[in-house]
Amino acid sequence: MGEVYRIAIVGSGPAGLSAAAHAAKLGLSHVLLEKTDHLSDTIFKYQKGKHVMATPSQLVLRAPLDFDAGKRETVLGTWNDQTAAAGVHVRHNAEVKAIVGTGAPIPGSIMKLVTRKRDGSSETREIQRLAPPYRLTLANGEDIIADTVILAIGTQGNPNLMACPGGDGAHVQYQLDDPAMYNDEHIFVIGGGDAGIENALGLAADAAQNNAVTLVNRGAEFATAKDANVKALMAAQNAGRIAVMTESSARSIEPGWITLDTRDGEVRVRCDRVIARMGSAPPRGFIESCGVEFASSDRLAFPRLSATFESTAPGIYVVGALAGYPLIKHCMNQGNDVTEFINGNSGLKPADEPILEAKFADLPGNDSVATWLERLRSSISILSGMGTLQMREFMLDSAVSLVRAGAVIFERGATGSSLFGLAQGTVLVEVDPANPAITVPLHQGTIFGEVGLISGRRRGATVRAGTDCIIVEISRGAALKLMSQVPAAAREITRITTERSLLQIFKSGLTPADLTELIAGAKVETIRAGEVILHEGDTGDDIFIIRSGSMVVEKSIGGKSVFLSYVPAGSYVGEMGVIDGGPRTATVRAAIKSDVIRLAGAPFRALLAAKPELLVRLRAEMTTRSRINSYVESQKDGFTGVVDMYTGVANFLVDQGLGEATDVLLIDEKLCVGCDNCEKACADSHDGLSRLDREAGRTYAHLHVPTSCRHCEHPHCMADCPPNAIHRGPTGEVYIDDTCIGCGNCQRGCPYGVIRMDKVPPKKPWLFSWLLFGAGPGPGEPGAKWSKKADKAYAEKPKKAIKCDMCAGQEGGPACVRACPTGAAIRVSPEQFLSVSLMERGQS
Amino acid sequence: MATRAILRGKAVHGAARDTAHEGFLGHRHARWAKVAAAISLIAILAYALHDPLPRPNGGTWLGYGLGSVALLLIIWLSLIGLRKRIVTPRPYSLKAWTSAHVWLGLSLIVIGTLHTGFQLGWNVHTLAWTLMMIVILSGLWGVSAYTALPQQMSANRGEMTQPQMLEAIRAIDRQLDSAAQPLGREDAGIVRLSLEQCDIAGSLWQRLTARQPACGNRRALDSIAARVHAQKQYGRPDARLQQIQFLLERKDAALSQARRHIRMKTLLELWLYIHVPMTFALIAALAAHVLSVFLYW
Amino acid sequence: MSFVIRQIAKRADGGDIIRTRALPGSEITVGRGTDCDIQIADLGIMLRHVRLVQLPGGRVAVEALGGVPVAIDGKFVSRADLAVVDNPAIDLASHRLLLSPHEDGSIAVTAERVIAPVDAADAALETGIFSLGEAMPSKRAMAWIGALLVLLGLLGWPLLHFMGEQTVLPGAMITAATQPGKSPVAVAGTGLVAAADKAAFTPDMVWSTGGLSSVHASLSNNCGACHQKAFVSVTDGACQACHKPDALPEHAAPDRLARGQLPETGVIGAAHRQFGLPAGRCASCHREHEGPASVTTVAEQYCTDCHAGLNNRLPDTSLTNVPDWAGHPQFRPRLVAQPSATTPLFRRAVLESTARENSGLVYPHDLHQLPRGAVANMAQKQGLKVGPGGALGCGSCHEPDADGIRFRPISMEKDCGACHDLAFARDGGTLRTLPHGKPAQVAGIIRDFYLSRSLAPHVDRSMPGLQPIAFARRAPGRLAEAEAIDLGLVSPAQARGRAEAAVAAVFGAKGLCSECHAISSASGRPVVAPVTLGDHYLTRARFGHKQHRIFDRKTGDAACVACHTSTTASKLASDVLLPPIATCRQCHGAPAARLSGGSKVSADCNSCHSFHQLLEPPSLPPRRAAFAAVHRRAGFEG
Repeated sequence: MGEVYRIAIVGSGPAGLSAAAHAAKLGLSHVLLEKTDHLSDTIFKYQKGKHVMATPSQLVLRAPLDFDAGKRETVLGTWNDQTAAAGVHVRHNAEVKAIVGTGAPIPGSIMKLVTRKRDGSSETREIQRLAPPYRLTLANGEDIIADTVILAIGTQGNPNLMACPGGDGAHVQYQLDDPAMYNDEHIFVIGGGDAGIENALGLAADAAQNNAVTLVNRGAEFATAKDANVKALMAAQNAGRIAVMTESSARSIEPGWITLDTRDGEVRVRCDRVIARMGSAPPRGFIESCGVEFASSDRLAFPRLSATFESTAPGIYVVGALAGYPLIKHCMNQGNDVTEFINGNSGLKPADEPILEAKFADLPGNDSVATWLERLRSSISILSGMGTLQMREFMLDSAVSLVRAGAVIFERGATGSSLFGLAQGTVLVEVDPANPAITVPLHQGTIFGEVGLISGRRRGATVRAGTDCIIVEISRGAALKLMSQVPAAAREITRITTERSLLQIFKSGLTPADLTELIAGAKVETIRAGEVILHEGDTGDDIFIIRSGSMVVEKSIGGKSVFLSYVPAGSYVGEMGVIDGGPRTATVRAAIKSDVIRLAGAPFRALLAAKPELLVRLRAEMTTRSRINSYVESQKDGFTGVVDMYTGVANFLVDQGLGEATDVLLIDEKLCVGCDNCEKACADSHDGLSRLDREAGRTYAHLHVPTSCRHCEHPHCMADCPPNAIHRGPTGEVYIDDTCIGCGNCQRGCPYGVIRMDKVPPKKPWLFSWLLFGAGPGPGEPGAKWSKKADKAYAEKPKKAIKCDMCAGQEGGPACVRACPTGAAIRVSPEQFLSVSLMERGQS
Repeated sequence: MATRAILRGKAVHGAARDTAHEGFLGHRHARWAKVAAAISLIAILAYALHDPLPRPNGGTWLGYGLGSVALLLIIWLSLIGLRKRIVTPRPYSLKAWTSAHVWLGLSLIVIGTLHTGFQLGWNVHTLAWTLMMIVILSGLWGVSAYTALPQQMSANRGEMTQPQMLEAIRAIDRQLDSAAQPLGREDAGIVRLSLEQCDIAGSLWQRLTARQPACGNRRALDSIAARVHAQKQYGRPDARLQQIQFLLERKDAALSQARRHIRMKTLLELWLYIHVPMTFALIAALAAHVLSVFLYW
Repeated sequence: MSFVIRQIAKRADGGDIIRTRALPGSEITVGRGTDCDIQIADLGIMLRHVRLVQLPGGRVAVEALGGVPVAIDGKFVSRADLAVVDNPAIDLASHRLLLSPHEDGSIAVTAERVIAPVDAADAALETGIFSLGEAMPSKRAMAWIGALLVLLGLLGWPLLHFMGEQTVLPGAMITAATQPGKSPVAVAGTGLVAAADKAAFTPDMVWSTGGLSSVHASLSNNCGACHQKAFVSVTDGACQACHKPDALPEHAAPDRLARGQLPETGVIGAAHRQFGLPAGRCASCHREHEGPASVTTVAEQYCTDCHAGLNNRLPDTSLTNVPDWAGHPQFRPRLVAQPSATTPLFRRAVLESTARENSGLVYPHDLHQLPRGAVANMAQKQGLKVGPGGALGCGSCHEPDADGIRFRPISMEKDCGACHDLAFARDGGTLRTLPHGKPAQVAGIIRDFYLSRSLAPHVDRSMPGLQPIAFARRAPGRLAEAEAIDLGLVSPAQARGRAEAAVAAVFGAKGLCSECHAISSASGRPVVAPVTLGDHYLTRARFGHKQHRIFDRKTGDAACVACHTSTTASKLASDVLLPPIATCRQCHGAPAARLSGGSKVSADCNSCHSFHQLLEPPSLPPRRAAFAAVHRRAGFEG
């Protein structure tokens, strides 16, 4: 039992460091616990020379440590020096295993701890919180006593460890910093995820290193890894550079040897080094065990915190990425602030105050930020469940604005995946495209625009302000975070979407009242790509409304299943069953992972009985569909080949992700002469970097889908962008703005490999000097060689994420299409292309 | 912020694009083919109806007319080289340009030839005409290549990209190299033929024929195959040699795929090596033609 | 006694990987084989390539095992003995072994690859091989070369030549040009243009837009001769350097010519004025560089331009407008209005059936054209040219002149005398003949004859010497003879009286002369009228009779008559027997269909007319003048 520290800071990332440094500055007794032997491990693990960005730029940095955009080395160097200078009390290799209060049990403060197992079952534990001071137990058994604890351990978590005997051996490691460090070794990489594959490839890349690399995967497939990585791995295996062992796992490890369980029994082979990349366990479990509660059971949920970052466990503060702030500046500010709070400075305004003030600036009545936050939370139903801190954070990526009566908030057909909360006043929804006079009012407290959010498609109706209203526009990211953190909000949104999408689909004067019964029985289901929701010939009368994703309708003709049509989100299938009652006339399967609303047949029939005009509408719809059926049938007799081709092409395109695409580049290789003018045009119209690779990509029946952005409805790249730099533009394009920090998450996230990390090449000489005298690299993307020669600073430039922006802002539309001399390249939306017109194409 | 939020709600629709799926020859239902045909027809009629003194030539008013039209056409046609390379944000379709380029270029045969009044001789004027015809004919060749080859090319390359083709060959090379390590001097020498004396592309002729009889790989494959065969006569052949042979055969396959690809790419590009330089010679000749005609009026 | 081996491998990213190990023992082998102490994976190296043996005294014996020598500081040796201290290097194929002393007497052997492996290159960088650029000279270079060649060779070089050019006109041509009326084609035939073919090449010949006409052929390497100033169209001055204006008579008085010209209007006129190309220059009719015959074939339009509406611009002109061949007016032949020995009067009249001329001659063509009858018999007897029908042939009187364009003048002796001889008596073998065109002598001869009769002593009927003149036509002397016989003249006075009567009868209205000559008796006594034969009717045209020898598959007289149809019916010499222009149009400018011959016959102006030759009628031959004079005197005296 040594001294009792005032503050124990766990984790020496930006947040932890600045907290510790500030504590040191304030002269508080403190200890900084770092599990590795160096500070700020996450940034330390960045590849050498990586450029670290400092966003958001408008956020002021108030931290004891300096931070500015620059190379990894510089940043770390500064911090190391300044921590040392500040006299921070650091303890390296001090991994905290447990944090338990040493005081009396806090009455009524009992926390339910639910742990889920692989098999889906879950057990519930109850923890009685104890009052501070806390005892922090280190991995080496040592204890540290501290009044307050600042958890700044980030979201990285700890790697899953080798369970087998000898797994704790010296030559077993859980990360690979520099593949070039190892020569002439027999190295086993355990785990077939992207990390594992990338490590293995790195180790085997250079034959000169003479490493015998073996990748061990538990399963037969590399399910979790990206396609590109798997391809590369297979190539390396064929080239004999890497040995791959699937359906195998380590049984025991001893110096120089490893024993594996394989399908054909146990093998013992030479092994000098084991690199285990079996994923990492998020820190949640540990944090919960400390008595810190999370907002929800959702994977994305964050701890529930007070305005002063204090968690549900009194005296335990959570800051940094773990608190939901992935950006370095945020973290450092919070580290600083939290120390202030602990030091009793309750009046401190958060660093983001000015930003929020700006947001509320042009609203009536110059009330304080706090008042506004409170007002919004209380007025808008879905926000009610949020804490102050969450509200602040929430507002950071939302916009609030005063809309005068009559002003249009968004139009039908506008893009936008944001959700709108109506804080005050009423808005009018023009439900009928033909007649804007017909409107449905929405009143204070409700939300709208949710369809765009859910389906990722264009707005379904124009919304006007009925009175002057105050409207919060919640960015898609914020909305998703909200749904994950506030289950109530999630439920509410789902209910509203279901109701509204029903109203929108079956217009003809339905009122929410008519639907109550239907909605009561409605279930939201998530369908995996390729999963079938309707089998041809089955009986059944459920109706499915596609909330997100898309479906393909197939019909088996002469034993072959023939592609009938492509059903985008926002439409419905299965109505024939209800109306005619007969068996299903076609098979419907998900083109991509989709959400559907399943409506029971019975209540729906009741509804139809009540609303004959609805029946008429549906029948009209049906006839058009059955027309397509009969058309294909008729074609069938004539051109078997054509129908097959049509089906083949359609399926191929769906496989290529057209199902979730909004706009995809297709190249007809009957016309493409391989001049690469599309790439050149792309590069020349986008500061010298091409966003597409014509040659790469799949081809079917001379229809080529090059590696180029499809502008998905739910862009995978948006999923995890720390600076929130990826947006959908007004013309539907998904673009990356210049706040990109070059983390590469989007690149990793994109299943189609259309995002690249690269630096902007130097400016090329005038075109004519090339035309006439061959000066410079000529049109298109200059080679790295030239760039290096032309610009000394090029090597140092930061890499940023580069992707297609559909040439937004260029009147002419996509340059690749404009610049195609033969008309081989076209950019189309799936609805445009995945139609019967495709069949005409087949015939011509 | 607020303004932006409202602005974001606008239903902006992207620039109208040409999603029509038709090649450059039939662009917009062969609009330019029709235009070109019309122009040629008018020229021919005018030529037939107009009976100049003492005989038709470039010096009559019709001659000057046709000449000026042809000159302007030629200048415009040559501008496609710029249009192709300058990517302006404003709407344009290179496909349309190509279409017009091809068809109007063809109509130039009529216009230019009528301008000569069929007076040909050994002079700068006829040179200009000849160059023009060469350019047009080479262009025709290009069009035929553009229509015939892409399909074959895509069929040949499958889904393989050019770097992949090269990488495939390199990979086999590496395997060959390591597989040959235990071999004796002579066999190793043979393998080295494949490794060191195997040019993928080669000279123009080799590119066009896609065949290289003297290719190191082929020679190596032959002699290794011969050895394996010989060994088969008495008992089991050397497994290492068989492995080498297998690798050499794979490399041979990879090589011929790459060479077929190169062959077609060559055919797609070769015509330009006549078309483009001749165009500039033509423009120079035109300058000489026009200037000299008025110098010696 | 040991080796320390340091094998250096290059990492792809440039770094080195150094693998060091110590080998006890005094001997190591180097090669590709796995059993070697230093294994070098390079197919250029033998399985067991070289052995290094450590010798006392810090020396090493190198021995090539496979018989392949190794290179030691550049020299190829199969064995060597090296001192370690001077760090020797042994090269094996792509690798190098570096020997150096190591602590405690061991030797460090550093093996390093010095030549990069072939496939070291990065595939991505090699994608260039797919583009043709690798196997071809760059398009840019070709374009430059091509363009420059053309510009320098076909623009620059000729331009230089043009600037430094001194033009010398070939004298032969100048003389040829000064020969008036010489048809250019004829000139072309002569040797003086042959020079052109052998003419030396001059750079600016490449600017020629076409072959020069044969007459100018020898200028074809002498552009400056005509193209004297840059950007200035060929001037008349240039033409007149050779074609001296006096050699080429004016088409009309310059001022009339100027006024007569059709002013150019419209775009083309404006363009011509703009570029200083007025009409009426030589070059506006004579187009050069159009092939051998070009310069002289001048198109009809060039004439009709002016002549179509000439009278609008020249009201006082005597010429009728000629819009084109079809609109060509009827011929206006120059007819003899009043014959005269010295100053005959001519008058141009439209060629109509009423057109008459007064030549002072009596000549019924029809009579002379009858196939039988006196004329025909006479002609046959006389052995004159007769046509197939036996009639007197046209050619017997009308004899083509040298050019075959017109006909030699008719002369009594040659063309009429054969039949119309003036013999009147035979006397002892001598044939007494009256001379033609000599009235005085005629009178004299007749007087002598009568006188001699009167003085004869007696008249003997059976006098052998005196026989009646034996041709059917009544000879002039008959009457006198008869008288002499019937009533013997006894006194000269009586004979004189008779003689005077006879003279009067010969010249009289019914007299011998009157058979062919108009007899005027203006002065109370008959006088033989003077004769003027029109020998050039279409004064401004040239009708090549020769070319029409064969006409419509007819030859000879048939051909003549085919056009001159009225001859056979013409009873009077005053008939104008010229064919009307319609006759010409039967062939000229007629659609080929109408011609039995087939091909269309040109209707060019210059097939009859010539711009530079006015074709004035030649002055009358002196012979006629004498004739007329004689008659007059005779008239006065007789």
